[in-house]
Amino acid sequence: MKRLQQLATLICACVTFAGWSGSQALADGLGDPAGEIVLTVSGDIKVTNTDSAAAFDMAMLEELGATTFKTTTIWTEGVQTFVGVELQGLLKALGVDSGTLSASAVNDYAVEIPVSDAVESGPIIAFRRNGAEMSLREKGPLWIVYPYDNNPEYQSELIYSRSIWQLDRIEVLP
Amino acid sequence: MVITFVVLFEMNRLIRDKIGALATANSDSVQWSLAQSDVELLALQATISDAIADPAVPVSTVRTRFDIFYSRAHTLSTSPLFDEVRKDPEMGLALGSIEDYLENSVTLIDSDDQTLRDALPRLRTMTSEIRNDVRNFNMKGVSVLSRVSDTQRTQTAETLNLAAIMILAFFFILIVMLGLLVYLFRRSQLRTVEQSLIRARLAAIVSTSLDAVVAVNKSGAIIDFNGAAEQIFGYTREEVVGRQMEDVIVPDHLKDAHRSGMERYSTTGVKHVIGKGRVQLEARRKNGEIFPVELSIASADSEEGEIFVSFLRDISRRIEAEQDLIKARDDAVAGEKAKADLIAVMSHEMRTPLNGMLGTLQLIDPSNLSAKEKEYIGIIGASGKLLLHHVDNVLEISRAEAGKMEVADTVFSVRALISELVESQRSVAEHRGNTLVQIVDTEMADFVRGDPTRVRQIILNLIGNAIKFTRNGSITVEAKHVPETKMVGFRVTDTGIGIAQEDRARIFEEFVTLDASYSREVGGTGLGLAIVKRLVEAMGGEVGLDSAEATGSSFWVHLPLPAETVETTSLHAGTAQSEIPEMPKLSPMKILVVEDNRINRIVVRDLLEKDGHHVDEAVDGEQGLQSAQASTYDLILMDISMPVMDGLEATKAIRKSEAKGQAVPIIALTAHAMPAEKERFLAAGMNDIVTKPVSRQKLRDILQGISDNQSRSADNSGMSAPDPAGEIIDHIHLNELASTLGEEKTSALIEKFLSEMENDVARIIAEIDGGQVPQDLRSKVHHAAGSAALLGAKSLHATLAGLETQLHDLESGDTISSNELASTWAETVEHLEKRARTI
Repeated sequence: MKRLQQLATLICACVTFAGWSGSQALADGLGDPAGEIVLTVSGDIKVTNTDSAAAFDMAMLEELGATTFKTTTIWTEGVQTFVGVELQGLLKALGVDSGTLSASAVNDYAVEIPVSDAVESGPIIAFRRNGAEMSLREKGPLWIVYPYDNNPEYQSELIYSRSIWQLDRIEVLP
Repeated sequence: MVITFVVLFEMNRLIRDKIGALATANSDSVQWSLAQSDVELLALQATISDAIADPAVPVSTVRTRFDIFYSRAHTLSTSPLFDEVRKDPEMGLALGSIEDYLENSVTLIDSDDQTLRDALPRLRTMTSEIRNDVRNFNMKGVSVLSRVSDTQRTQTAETLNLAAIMILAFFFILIVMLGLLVYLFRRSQLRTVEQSLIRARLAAIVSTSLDAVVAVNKSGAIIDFNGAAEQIFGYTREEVVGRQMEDVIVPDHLKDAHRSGMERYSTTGVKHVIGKGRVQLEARRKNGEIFPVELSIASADSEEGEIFVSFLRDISRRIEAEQDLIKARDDAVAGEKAKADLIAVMSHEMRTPLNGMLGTLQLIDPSNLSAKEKEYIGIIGASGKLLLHHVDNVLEISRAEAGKMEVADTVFSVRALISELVESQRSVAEHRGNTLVQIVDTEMADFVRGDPTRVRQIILNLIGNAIKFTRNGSITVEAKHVPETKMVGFRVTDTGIGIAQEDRARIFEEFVTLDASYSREVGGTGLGLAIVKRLVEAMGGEVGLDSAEATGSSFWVHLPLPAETVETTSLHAGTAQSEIPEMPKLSPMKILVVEDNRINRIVVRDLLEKDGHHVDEAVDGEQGLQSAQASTYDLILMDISMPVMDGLEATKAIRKSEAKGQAVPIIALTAHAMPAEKERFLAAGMNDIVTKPVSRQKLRDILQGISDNQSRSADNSGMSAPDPAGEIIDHIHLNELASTLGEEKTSALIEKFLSEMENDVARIIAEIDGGQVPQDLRSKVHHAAGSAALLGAKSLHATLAGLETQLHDLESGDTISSNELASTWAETVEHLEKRARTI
């Protein structure tokens, strides 16, 4: 019993420490974009690298950690392999844990995505499809993709509408 | 039902799939996409135009716009969403020209900035050219998609319809099942009510049953015990439920049978009593009383397994009543028999003095009498004979009642018999003014075989009857051979008063006399025709009557008398029967008569001397004793009441002085012998008692018995213990019995006596030896003693009488011995069997 208590205390301490050290690390590591800016996140975010916004180039996005999954989509033919940063990972890096994201595309298509969609094994901001970066003609360079095949819940019109391609801006609404 | 469910399940699955298909959207907002392509093309056009108009606008904006349209158009041509739209040939064409445009323009877009800026006007033209295609594609796409979504709607509607039908079907099935459930519920409710009614009825039946109802389970424990059972057995229900039945109501002597029966049933299933209807057994009450029951057992199934239900009825009352009834019947039969016996005995007893009277008449010497006296003596003789005749008739009937009539088998002449009868009756007939005629068939055989005495009796009876009822008429006696039946037919016809039709049936019954006034004139016991009928039947013949009132009667008799040709046989036809049958001549005996009455003494002496015996006289007991001691006699006739020394004293003294095994037969002569006195006489040593008056026949019988006895004991002296004085068997008594009943019947009686007594004596001995003296032992002994006395088994009778006295005076702790009875019985058997053989 006593041991269990000790264990619980230890876990609590670790979590607290990790959260603190994590945010410190991110704040330090966001850095400035060196290449072409492909995504700008503004609004209610805790970490920025420009005036009240966070600008990312491809390298910065890749640094956040790449996730890969395979799925079919209703816009493409055959199974596609997507590589990208998890939405959850991105929001974590920006210290966002609630609210709504207003995502806009190059063609000015805009859609609102609740932060609650950003879960483990959830949507990613894909930057590579089938092993290659995506051009604007191929709905690139960034495309929010959900693992439709893995989760039937993602096979709905709402989710399809949230699957925004040619993404270049996100505004975090509280 | 199962099929319905399978179908419903299948339908359900189908609907679920369809609903699932609807739930997973496989389309984005397609229309929007289509419209967007138009919008994006317009945006591209506008950007191109801006760039042409204003060189400050960078061409990269054109590139971006182009790329956006490119992406959109590419989606239209590759996305599965537009499969349906693309299938349309017109659409295919439109799409083809869009793709051509993209292919042609992409090289311009991908060239360097200056080249692109130069090519912008051409690009604008190309872009304008596909504007219509994009627009058409959009318009057509919308209509195709509408069609698709229409189809989808229809399908959805169908699916919903199907669902509705299914729901309806489910609902219907549910209703049906609910109905079924309600029905089943009602039925089970009804059954429950019914069952409780049945149960209540059964309980009422069981509780009000007059028979005890006892239910036991398979292990024999009582599970139910009704009110009647409580009353009959004396236990309350609470006392016995749960206990073993054999411990409660099965008597000890039936426990083994009960146990083995239950065991046999449980192992083999073979039923002996169960379900076999009523059985009589015994049961035990609480107070230990064992009583008879009528029992029937049934087996039934219950919640606790097989149970046995016994119905028991206390039949002790019934058994008692049955026994009472049997006793009443036996008493009645015995009473009837006693009456018949009384008649027989009375007749017998009447014959004895009559014979004495008639015998004495024979002793009167007619030569010394006057004519008047002779006439008187004649009247006395005739009256005596008539009386004797009546008595004989009664005896004949009771003999016939008692059993077989003896029929002799000799050769005789019917012709001679008829003429002898007619001649002997002629004077009687003529006395009443009748003529008597005989007609004998010439065909009649000279000799026939049969019983002439019986035939004579029959015909004589019929002739006598005819004479009685006819005055100044004629009587015809006929005899003829009837060839068809090989019988001899007799017919006695008179012209007398005749017999009325209604009386004809009963005239052959006993003691029937018609017309009281007439019969008073003619007299008669009413036995004549009854005797005739019995005699005829005994001989295997028939008797009948043809009669008309006022013209006379005609009796006929058919008798089987086969013709006999042998002539050497002696004839029995003409000689009339003497009143006293001739006895075989006895060798002269030496007899002492002890009698104080002079007249009696003289009659006895004269009767004996007439038969050639030597007679000594003594006037009292003392003289008798002296004479007996002085010389040896074959027989002493001893009066009882005498002066100086009475018969009993004298007998005792004589017996005392005798050497063992040399007992002279002493017969008591007494006027009145009460049974108790008789015992006393026998105990004193007398061999028998003869009631006065003494007839010649009686004396002859006594002497015959003694003579038989002597010769028998002489014959058998080497074989067994002699019984010279009749100490074991009273031969005189037995002889009298034989002369009354006939030898054959007497020997049958002896055999019957021996077989019956064997059991009785054995049981008495067993019970005495067993040390237990049941209440009824004394009456058993008494009964046996009576039987012994009847057959003249004297010593057996004395032993049994002694035993009875002992039993009467028996006190607890006393012991009695059966030894004497056993030895006496053995002797009696030996002598009686010998006697039966010699008959």
